[in-house]
Amino acid sequence: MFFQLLINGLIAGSIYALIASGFSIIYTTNKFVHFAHGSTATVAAYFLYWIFSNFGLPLYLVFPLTILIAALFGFLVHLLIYLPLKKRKSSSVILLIASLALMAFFDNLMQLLFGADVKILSIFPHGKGIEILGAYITPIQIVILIVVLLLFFGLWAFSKYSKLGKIMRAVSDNPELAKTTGINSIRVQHWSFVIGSAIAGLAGILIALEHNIEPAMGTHLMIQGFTAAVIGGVTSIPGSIVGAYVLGLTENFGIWFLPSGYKSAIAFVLLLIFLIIRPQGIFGINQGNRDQKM
Amino acid sequence: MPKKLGIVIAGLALFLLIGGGCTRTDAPADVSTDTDAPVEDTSPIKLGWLGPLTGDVSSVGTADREAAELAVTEINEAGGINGRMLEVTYEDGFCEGKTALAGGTKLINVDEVVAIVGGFCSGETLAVAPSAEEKHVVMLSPGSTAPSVTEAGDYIFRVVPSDGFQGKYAAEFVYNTLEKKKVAIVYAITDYAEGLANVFEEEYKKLGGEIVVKDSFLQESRDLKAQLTKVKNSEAEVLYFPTYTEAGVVGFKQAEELDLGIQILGPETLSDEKLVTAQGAEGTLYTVPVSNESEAFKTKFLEETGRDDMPVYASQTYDAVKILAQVIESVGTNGEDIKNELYNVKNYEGVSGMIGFDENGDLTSAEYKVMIIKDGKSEDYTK
Repeated sequence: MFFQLLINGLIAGSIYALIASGFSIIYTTNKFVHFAHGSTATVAAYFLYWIFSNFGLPLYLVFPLTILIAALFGFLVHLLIYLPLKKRKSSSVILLIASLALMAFFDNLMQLLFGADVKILSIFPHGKGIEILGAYITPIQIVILIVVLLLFFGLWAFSKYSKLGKIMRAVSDNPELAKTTGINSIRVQHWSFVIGSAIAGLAGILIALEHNIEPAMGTHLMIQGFTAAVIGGVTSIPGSIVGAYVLGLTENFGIWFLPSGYKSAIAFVLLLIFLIIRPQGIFGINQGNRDQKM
Repeated sequence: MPKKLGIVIAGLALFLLIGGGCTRTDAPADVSTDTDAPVEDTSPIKLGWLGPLTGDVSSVGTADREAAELAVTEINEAGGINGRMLEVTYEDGFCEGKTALAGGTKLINVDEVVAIVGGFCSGETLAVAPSAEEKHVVMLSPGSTAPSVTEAGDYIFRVVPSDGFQGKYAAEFVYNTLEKKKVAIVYAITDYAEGLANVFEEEYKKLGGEIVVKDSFLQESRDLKAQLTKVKNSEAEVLYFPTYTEAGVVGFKQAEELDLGIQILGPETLSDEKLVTAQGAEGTLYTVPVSNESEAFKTKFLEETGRDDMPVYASQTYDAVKILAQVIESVGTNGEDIKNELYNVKNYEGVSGMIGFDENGDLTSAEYKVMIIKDGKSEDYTK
């Protein structure tokens, strides 16, 4: 039972991490809560469903195309909705409200286009999981674990060594100062939306394979993703992934002692504990900035 | 400047809101003058429909809405009710109390419907019942089976049997027919599934069986691995699994992935096509009310809607509309009269079978059978 719960926790954590990491990338450079980030994953999942069931394209084309669409979607949302608001010097509260509106809009749009019923993607042959130490895990779940692991190291290396990653951290630390040193902060914000949304696209694909597709999938996951990001430290991208695992494991081990109905309650108690005791999260250090902007 | 504009808009909005309130209070006065001269009245008779059009269970909800529409079209094509057309307002109940209450309150207070077909889910019916009681609006549910609906009020009726019967039947089936003495229960936290789980537990213990695990999950949860892991590590020989479609689909899949390996038994919600064809559903058993569903209606419904399968409770929805139309035709649109007349319905020959109400507004009889999912299709179970 221990190993099964451990694996369940790791899988849940990986799924939260897929949402939390993209969310965190957008948050660090833009400093507002982009709740519609979950909808990006939903839109990607439905796009995958639509293109897969209508055109019969090979998978090596379908998956990258879905990620591309998600990135484009994120870019357009930033360009057409958030940027005009930012240019009017709207506060982060206004941007948050706009993001909530976008979330409701796209969830309902997907429902209008595809219907409210759950869509099941049967791309890969399925069946009993593989047994490891008495616990079961399926190939898709293994893929999810590996992808998140790669994502973790990739993002860590990206923000530490790549030029864009360094610029992003600079904008994240102080957007005004970054601007005076000649950094085009709007361009960086565009990029963060593109990269964050591409990750959401990847999340949409993997979650569609693991949990099926439905209009509210992104919203449900966004709650967990947001919680994970706060636990790990919203301003730290690798932190948000660690936070996701903390959340997934706590939820799953918690039910060892409590009825499973309390699973979500565990998540929110954890969120409250972190907000009160360590508001900057596990990895966050940027406390002053956070207090100012959030 | 924009600030000023904002104030102007806010002022306008406020004005409109107040205005809206006025027209609403005017409306009942019109109705009372109408009833004074019923002979000349040709205004449409308004019914409400309440069920899940979005979210979980919406695949069933939207299908049953089509059944209601079919009944309405037939009634109106035949000349309506005493020359008055039947008009139905459809409200989304999201299969949960909060949304249903908003929709139901709107139907009762704003649309001022004569009666409501619904709620569909038990949670919807239970949430709206107090308002319906207070305003003397009859609710006739085609799908709420929770035992607690029996005591929801005088104005609350249903054309489906209470799960008091179904839970008991399932418990007896597991104990006597399957001859399994240890059961795990995993249910969705909803009035419907929880009602079933409790009745099952009570009856099964009475028979001498043992419940080794009883656990639950949120209706919108898509990860039941934790609960299923608990079941797998218990001595359970059968899993009783009352759930709605969406969580059920992942539940079946995850049960297979975790190699649960024990018999799963569920209630009638498992008859949804999405569940029957779901990964891991093979071999699952479920109980359904024996409905002497009319073949003629089945053919007509499938033809009209272009569907392949009969959704659960479509014939009950159709019957509910037809029964209300018949009752309104004989006693008029007064809520109390409709209620009293419904209690006199004893042998209505509906497309879902013979319908008669007892003193609680429940069906007088209920019969069940067990189905098995085989090769992605449902068939009668034989041991």
